Amino acid sequence: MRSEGTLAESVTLALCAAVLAVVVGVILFLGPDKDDPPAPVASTEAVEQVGDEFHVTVVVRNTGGRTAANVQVNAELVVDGETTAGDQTVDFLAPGNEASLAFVFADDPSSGDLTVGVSGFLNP
Amino acid sequence: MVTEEGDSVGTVRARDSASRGQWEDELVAVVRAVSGGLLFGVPLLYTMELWWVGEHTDAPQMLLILALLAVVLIVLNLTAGFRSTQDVRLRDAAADSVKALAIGIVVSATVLWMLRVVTVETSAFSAMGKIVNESVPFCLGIGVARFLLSGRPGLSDEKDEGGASASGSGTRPLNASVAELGATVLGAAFVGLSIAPTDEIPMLTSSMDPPWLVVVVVTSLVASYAIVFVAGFARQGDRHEQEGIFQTPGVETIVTYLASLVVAAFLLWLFQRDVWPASNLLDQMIVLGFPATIGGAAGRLAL
Repeated sequence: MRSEGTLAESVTLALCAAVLAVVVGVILFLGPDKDDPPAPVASTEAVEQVGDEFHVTVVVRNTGGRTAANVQVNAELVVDGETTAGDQTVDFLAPGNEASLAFVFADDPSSGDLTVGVSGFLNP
Repeated sequence: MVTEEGDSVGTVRARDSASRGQWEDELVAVVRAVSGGLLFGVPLLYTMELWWVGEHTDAPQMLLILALLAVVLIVLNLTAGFRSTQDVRLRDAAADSVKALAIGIVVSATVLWMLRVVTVETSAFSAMGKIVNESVPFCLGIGVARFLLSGRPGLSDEKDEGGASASGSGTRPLNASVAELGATVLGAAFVGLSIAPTDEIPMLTSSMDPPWLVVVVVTSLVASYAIVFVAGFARQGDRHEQEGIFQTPGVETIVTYLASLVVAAFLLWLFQRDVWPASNLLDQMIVLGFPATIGGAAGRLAL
């Protein structure tokens, strides 16, 4: 059987209770507003030439209040009337989180019209 | 003749020594809790579905998980727990449950951070969802740490010390070394087998640069040492005194870590993972080596 509580045990208990208070505080007060629907938004972050190709970094961020699943991100480049398109899927995107993607084009995006966007997602 | 001053100095020294003892005891109890959590929780850490569940766990669900864990931990602390002696009073069990819950959350947060599943770019609420979900196996491991680390729920430090010297004194150094190495390989293979074929290993490896891999190596060594030589009271006194080829605590920890890395490499080859070039193989060995090392430490405790 255990002896009476020592000072060391009391200090550990106080520290652990403080940790739990912080955890519960984060859960209660930093949670997103669940009334807001998911709102993933894609934007071009950078364009880099790698060999003969051009890598376009696209960041998709969920600015809504709920998680979005299977987020479909597409990028379309029109150069001299010729269209090149690509799409990618992000499995899960929690509120406030972001994912970084790369699209690869043969033409220089600065010489044409580049559009990136989110075409759809699943409500998990 | 004992003067009044001498008496008083003696009393202060005795109090200092007792005070140091209680802090040491509490530190060992916390290390034991961390070790129990790691033994039970690490395999589930390498499960990406559990990370994803954390992404869409809402606040009421998280609070419910924590409340249910607290109840389960009170029951576990009344029967097993992470201390060398059993909690009999409900208030002790409740206090230890608060500690187990907090330690489980801190350990799972630390390991998720080490594995780069949680980074500074992760939103606080999303990180908390992952941590709370991952802390479930960690907390359960802490609740049964005494059983995991002693092999028998009723065993205490004091009982063990007597039995340990009796059982350990007759073992020849070479045999003991071979047995420890064999147990490490078996334990590492047992834990590593379920993780090596999964996509989590290359996924985690891709997010780590060399300095981060060094952090994983150091954490693996510290966890292995803590489980076997600090927290594990199964033959612990005996372990510190064993003679053999590599049976000083530091050397044993390093040699068994290297053995766990070899097991990790073999499992990656066995499951035909894409590990070439050699730098990629080394990276994946280190990432798989963390759970394998913890499995290896558990294997040695079972000896």
